[in-house]
Amino acid sequence: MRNARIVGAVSAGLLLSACAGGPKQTDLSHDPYVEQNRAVHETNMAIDKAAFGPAARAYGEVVPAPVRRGITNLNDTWGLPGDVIQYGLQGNGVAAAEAGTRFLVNTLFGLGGLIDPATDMGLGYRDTGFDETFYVWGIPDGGYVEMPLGGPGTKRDWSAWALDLMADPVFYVVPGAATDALLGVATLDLVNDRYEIDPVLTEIVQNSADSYTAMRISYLQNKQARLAGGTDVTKLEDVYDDY
Amino acid sequence: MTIEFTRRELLAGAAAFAFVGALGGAAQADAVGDATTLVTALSAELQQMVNSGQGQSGQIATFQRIIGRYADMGPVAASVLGQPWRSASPAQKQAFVAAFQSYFARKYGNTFSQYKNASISVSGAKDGGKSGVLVSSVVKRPGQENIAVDWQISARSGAPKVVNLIIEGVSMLANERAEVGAMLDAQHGSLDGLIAQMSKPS
Repeated sequence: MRNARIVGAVSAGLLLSACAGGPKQTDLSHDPYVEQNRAVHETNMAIDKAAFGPAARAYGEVVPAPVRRGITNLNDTWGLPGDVIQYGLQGNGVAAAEAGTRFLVNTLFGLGGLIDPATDMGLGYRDTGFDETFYVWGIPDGGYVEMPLGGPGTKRDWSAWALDLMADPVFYVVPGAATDALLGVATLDLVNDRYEIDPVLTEIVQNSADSYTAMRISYLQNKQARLAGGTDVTKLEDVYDDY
Repeated sequence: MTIEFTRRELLAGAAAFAFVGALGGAAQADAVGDATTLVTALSAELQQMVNSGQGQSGQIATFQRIIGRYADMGPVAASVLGQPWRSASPAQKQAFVAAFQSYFARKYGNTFSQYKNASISVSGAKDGGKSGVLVSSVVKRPGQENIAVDWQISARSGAPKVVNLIIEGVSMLANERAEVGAMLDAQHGSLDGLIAQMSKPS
């Protein structure tokens, strides 16, 4: 009788501590749109395999690295005016000033943004947008959504993406021919992104027993770390817990 | 006389206590230092591996040796397998750790072998308490974006060992837990089937 009570008390305690411990990592199990997402994922992977992947590999193999780097630099630099506004909205004056300085340095001394002297001066590139602004404002991510032809994201990310397109000041200031050229640059850089991520995508996603989940949890963790400025050292897992 | 002796003993005890206390503090400060030293040595070996000019299979073999020395794969494999680990037999546990290690070496050895001409440098370390120390490193590749790789180091086995790596925020433990779970489902929950599948080079 007494033993039974002890066992009862101990197991209740274990249950409580299991609840109190909560999820070890960011909650990766929350996936409200899983069914729709999985259908989209299959189509996306098929299109990537047949068209986007081969095109990206061809681009990466034909176009020399310095040219691809130059296109990335142009795309990053001409995104900076928008970044200045976003950092302002986030209340991050230092980052806004850095992005502004970076824009001036690279356009004036970097052949209009083709090369990147700002990084050598210690002003490295850090991307931002409405996704980070919404995060800073405390808007929840709304759940994972894989977009047809668009790939991984959250509801918050996709709303941010649409707003970023409309809110880019460069498109309202720079003449039409130049904005067309910048759109071309952005498209080529997207192809280059796909090329550079190719080994990881093959290894982690395409060779996976469950490529949807592999892509989803990789995306969510990467995004979380980027928004939070790195991995939270207090949320590390203790692998010796169950060993 | 007896009282004197006891007092001396007490004093000695207090001194010893203070000494152990100081050691404890030093050990804690050292955990970060030891972890950083480990990752610095590990980074040097990885950098040498990717730039060695060996073929992919040679690099995977080298990577497997590096894992054997620097990582504590027993608890890593147990943590990745989760619930089925607890009900596995000792023989299954041993076989699973070996299978996971060879699977891990192939998968991540492949990824690392792509980082030709890369250099790895340690950029900082943070103490995560009981779970270990997180040592940050940056993989620099000419003409490409840098990659942030964090190493979680724990000394719970007695010596500092790698227990997780976090590439651009993506935890190997979290990803492999999902992956191994999906592979186990594909084997209809058979642990022996999973072990056989993970052991064979795909």
